[in-house]
Amino acid sequence: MNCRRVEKLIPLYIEGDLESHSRERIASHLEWCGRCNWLADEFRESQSWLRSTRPPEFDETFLSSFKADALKLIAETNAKPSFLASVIQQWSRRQVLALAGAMMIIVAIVVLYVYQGSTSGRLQVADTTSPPEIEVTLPTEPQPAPHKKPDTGLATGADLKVPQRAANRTAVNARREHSVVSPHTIEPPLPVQVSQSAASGPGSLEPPLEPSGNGDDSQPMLRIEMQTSDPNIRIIWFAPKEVESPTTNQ
Amino acid sequence: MPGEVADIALMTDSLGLPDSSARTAASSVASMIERAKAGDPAAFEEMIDCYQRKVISTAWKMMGNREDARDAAQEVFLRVYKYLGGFRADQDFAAWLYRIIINVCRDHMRKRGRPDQFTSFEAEHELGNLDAHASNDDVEGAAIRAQQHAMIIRALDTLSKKERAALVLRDMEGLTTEEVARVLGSTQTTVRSHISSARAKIKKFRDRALMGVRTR
Repeated sequence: MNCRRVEKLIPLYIEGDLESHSRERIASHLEWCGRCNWLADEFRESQSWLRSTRPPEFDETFLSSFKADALKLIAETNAKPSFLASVIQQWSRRQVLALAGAMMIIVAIVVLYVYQGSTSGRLQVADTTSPPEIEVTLPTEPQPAPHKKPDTGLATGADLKVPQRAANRTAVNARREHSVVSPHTIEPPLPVQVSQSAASGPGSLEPPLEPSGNGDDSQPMLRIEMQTSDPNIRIIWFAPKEVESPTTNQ
Repeated sequence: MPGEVADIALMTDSLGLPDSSARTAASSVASMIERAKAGDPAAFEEMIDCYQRKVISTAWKMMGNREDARDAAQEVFLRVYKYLGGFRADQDFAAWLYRIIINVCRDHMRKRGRPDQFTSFEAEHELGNLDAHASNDDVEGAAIRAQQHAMIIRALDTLSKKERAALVLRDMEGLTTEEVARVLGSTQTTVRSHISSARAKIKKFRDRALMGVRTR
């Protein structure tokens, strides 16, 4: 064992904190190494210096006042035990664990509920930003209602399936003519779909997207869809390309 | 003296002395603990009488001054009262008590922050630790002892909390490495490491202090 290793173990060696094997090796090293021997003596002096300190004598007056204060502190704490302490005292460990588990489940449910609420609220807010609130009333007369909104912003939220500009313009114009804008009823997204199609009939809810070869009614039509707040109600226009005023179906 | 009984009981618990009087003391302490656990207030008061000197002096070694030691010791008995119900008869009461003392002292040291005060001779004198009617020679000796004590406390303050706890329990309370490990809830290897570094730091501090005295 070299001096470097011995130096590291001397603090433990001097108080007998080493295993017998290490202790014997260090003892044999110290027999011939004066420097390590001197270091061990220094450590022994340091240890005796450390032990020279004695705690002050605590007289009976001090101890009796200490005991009185300690008992007073305990009595004060005992007078108003915490909720948790009282629960733990009265209930068994299993009951406390069961209560803790139930509390965790309740908290998890509440957190989940709040999280879902906030998520849907966020979506609603996001939706209201893109298209403004629009309530569409279907005209009972062929003459369109004169109400117009200068900028409904529907064109930005529109999902245009047909890229032709003419069809787009027609659809937007038709929508503006038949739309009543209400600032009080915020509705979720109003996707407008404009597609070039041939109407299969006035009652058909899902007309083909491509012009159908339906006899004489093979003229290409524009199909305009609008989703209201009610998922069961969708507003669909079919407008012939040449005709300016659109026909409306629901 | 109840304190002596407690000392013997602690030694018996921690060192396993096969003395018959120690065994008797240990059995009386065990019955006292059982009665206190059952809610007998007289038994708890008896327990305070038995252990207060030991608890205060250990807290003093950890905290370094009398007032902090007193506060910590009161907190120790409060915790003993609170958690005595969870103490099992097969447990080592000495180790259990030491663990509470060390934990309370650590908490107090954390609240107090890094200690920068040390007990001066004047402070010890004011607190009545020194004999007020001593002769001049005694006063001089007491002053030297107080200075030395202050230096030791400052040396202990250079240690980390773990090192200090290990050193106090091993070198000042006389527990074995195994017992210290049990009290601190760590391995013997860790305790040896802490003790070794703590002793090296104490020696280093003392060397510097002595060097400073010589160069003055």
